[in-house]
Amino acid sequence: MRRAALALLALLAACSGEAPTRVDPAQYDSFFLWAGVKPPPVLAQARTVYLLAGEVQRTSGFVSLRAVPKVTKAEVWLVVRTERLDWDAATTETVLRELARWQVAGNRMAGLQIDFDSSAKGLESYAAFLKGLRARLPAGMNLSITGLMDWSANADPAALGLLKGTVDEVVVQSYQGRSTIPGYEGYLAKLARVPVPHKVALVEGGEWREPAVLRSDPLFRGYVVFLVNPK
Amino acid sequence: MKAFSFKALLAAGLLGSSGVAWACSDSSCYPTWTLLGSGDSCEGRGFMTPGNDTRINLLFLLRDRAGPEDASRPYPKGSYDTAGFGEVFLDPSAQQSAYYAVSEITDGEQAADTGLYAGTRCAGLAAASRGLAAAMLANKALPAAERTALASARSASEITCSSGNDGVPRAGLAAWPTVSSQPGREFLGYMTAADAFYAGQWDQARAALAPLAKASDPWVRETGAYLAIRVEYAAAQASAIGEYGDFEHSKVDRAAVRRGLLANAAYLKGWPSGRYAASAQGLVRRGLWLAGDYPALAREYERVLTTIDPGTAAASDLVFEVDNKWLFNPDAKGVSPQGTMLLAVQDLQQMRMFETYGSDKPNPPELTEAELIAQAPAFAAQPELFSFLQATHAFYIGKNPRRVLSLVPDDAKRASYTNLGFSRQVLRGQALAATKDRNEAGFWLDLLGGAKGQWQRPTAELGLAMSWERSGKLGSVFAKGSPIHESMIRRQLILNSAAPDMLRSNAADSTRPLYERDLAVFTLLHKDLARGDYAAFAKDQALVRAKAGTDGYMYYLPDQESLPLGLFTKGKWSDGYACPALAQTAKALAANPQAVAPRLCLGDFWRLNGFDQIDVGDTPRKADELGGFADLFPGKPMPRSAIYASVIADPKVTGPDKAYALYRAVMCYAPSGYNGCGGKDVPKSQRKAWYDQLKATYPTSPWAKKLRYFW
Repeated sequence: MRRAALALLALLAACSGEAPTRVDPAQYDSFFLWAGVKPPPVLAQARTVYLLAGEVQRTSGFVSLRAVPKVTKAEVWLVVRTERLDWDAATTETVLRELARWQVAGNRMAGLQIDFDSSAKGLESYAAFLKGLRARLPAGMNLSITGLMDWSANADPAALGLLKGTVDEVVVQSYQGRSTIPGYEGYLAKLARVPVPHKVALVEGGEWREPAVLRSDPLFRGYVVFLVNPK
Repeated sequence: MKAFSFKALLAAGLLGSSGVAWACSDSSCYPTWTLLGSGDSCEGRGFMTPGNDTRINLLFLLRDRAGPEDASRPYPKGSYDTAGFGEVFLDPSAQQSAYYAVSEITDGEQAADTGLYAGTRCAGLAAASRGLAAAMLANKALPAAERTALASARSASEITCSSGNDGVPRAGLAAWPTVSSQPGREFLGYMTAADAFYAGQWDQARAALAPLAKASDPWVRETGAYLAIRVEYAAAQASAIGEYGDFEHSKVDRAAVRRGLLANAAYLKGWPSGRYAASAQGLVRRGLWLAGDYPALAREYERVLTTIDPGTAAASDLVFEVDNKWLFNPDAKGVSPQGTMLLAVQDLQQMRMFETYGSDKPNPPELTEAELIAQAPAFAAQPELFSFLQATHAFYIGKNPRRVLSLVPDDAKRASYTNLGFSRQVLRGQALAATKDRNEAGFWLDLLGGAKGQWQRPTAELGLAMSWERSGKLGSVFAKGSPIHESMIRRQLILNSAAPDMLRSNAADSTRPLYERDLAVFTLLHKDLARGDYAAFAKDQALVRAKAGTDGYMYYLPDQESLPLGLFTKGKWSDGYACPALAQTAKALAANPQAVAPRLCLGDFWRLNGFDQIDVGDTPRKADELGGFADLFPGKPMPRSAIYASVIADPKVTGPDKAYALYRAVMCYAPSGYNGCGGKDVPKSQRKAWYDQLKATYPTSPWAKKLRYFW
């Protein structure tokens, strides 16, 4: 039913006749820069950048997708996308070494962000993984994770609670591909259930109208815009 | 690269405007249950087809060099985002890990440049140190004292590669020992060069390397010649790294690349089977890529694709590299591939058809029939590959399945198949289906015999199951001794197509996996209720295992961690409006299907146990998908919203029941304004009318008091 329901939502949104508001990076100061996306000039105004450093793929260890950056102004999060949670020692070492290299190169590091599509159901084992990783992080390095809107709607509150004390923030993605997920208002209505400071990730050019509920959410910490290459 | 991977495309920055992504709020890939691999799918199929990730097609072709696929290997373990693939569908990493042991970063000097870009120079340091130590021992002219001094200096220089310094330029090591023997000076020269290389001091490295060409020690001479290549390539790309660690090809140091290519050629000429020959051969590709010499790169790729051992993980690494650096490299666009492997894979990719979101017109194919025919000379030595490409074009673009039948003769009775051989037969099977051939099912049954490679048998089973479903023989799928072994195929049919008695017999079949049997019972009970056969429900409820769990979270019934079948016996029945156990509710409905309170209780059962969010075969599949041909379960599903609408509309219903129906009807839209109860949406004015009616007619009802808004 989920697919069909969302199809319907998409249709509804398209039929509402109201011109949707689009995400314009110029209005924001925090950005995701994924591999293969050409750094656009708007990055000059960035206060925070989340840079995808590499991926831990299902069949291999860490694969680097970016050379060591030398970001002059913005604070930097090193983002690792992972398809698996059973990191071996070498993988963890490589990621931590990458973090150290970025720091040695003079970047102002905020910390490490893990991008893993955990199901709401799988949050418990994800939290255990994050706890182990946290213990290995050098002092002063924060731990961030990306999150799915599905979590706030469907995850067990106890599992969400496990993130508390382990991760410093959750950046909840409101898009898939280049589009905001239809029905995002419904999902985000329950965002306050995520008991750690959270940001909302928007996709450049995606539809976005800020739900009022965000402004009254005491743990809401603003937006991160996922940059995309011009079409 | 696949056509439609959200994050993968984003990762590669290639997401085009046609890549409209919408599914669920996760990045899972829910496969489309058909053999059609035309373009807009995220799942790969076990045969070569346009919609497959190019890496899958290329690895299939490459592996054919080793003959038929007939080894039985364990299938790789699925993951969350490939739930539901079963052994029918695959993705490139599944394919890679099915064929090869997990590839480890081979240590040693050779592996030092495995990363895409800079920064992995240090990976080879340890092995290089071991090589250096052995070489110093082997050189009898090197005084022992000098050897000791040199070894300790080397250890000191390794700091360059530790504590996060890897790849970050720094000053080279200052304090080198003084040595006087000729070999001592040569080893010191190498160590200085290596240290400068690891530290990113390219000019110092070059200066230290130059005299080593005339070294008397053979290890120093050879290793120096090899290091020269790596210094130049590393220098070439260092200049192309931007503020954000991004790579800008236009900023590559061209002069350094040219020097690197010369050094590369010189090493391979001087040491054709030297210590680093394999690595140096691989570095040629790096050099050509850095130089942007794509025609030469294509020639080199073809050479390696046709010589690399298909049985080693290096083959799949190569496939990933080709995809990245050639097939999907925008700079290489328009450069003709060399050789048939790359050409065939590119042809298939250019036969992809997408349905653009919001438009029913697919994209025009990038490859016309005339263009394909013009390639005939290139494929002269591989007529089977060429006729497969022609047949694929005829099928997917020409929409001419009869032509497929004439291009690809029946060869379904082989003992085993190469990937190409199998792909040809699957295409023939698809064409038989499209032409409604009477012997289609017989063809798939034949093909099962030799479908021994990974994913081959489940693929043939899918063809057979669809054929049976289409021709009214769905019962054969669930019959004793059925050749449809793949559970994921049966699960699709259980959810979408099976008649009640088929569900009962699948549930009773102890040879089938527990999840599948539970799913049969789950579907049966859900449909008994949703389609109004309450008497059957009362009997079928006994099929629920005593130990069936109630874990209430459901997200993808065909394949999730556990199936909460116990909800039907131990679920939540009530949270305010008083309801008895579901068994009583069903009994009351069996006696009187219009009974008001039991109907409201049925709605509460669905609401309280998570049935609003899931699809238990209620949404019809597309007609050309498995599970889309037949719906043998009698009746039509009744959405929860229909219960409220009918109770509200019934003038005989008054009091608390009416109030509750009104409350629930409004709550269907809380809080997002979107209908969460299924069925047709009603306009906001209708929701307001319900709200007003509840407030006006039943002002003292707890439901009226509880309802503060409408949405």
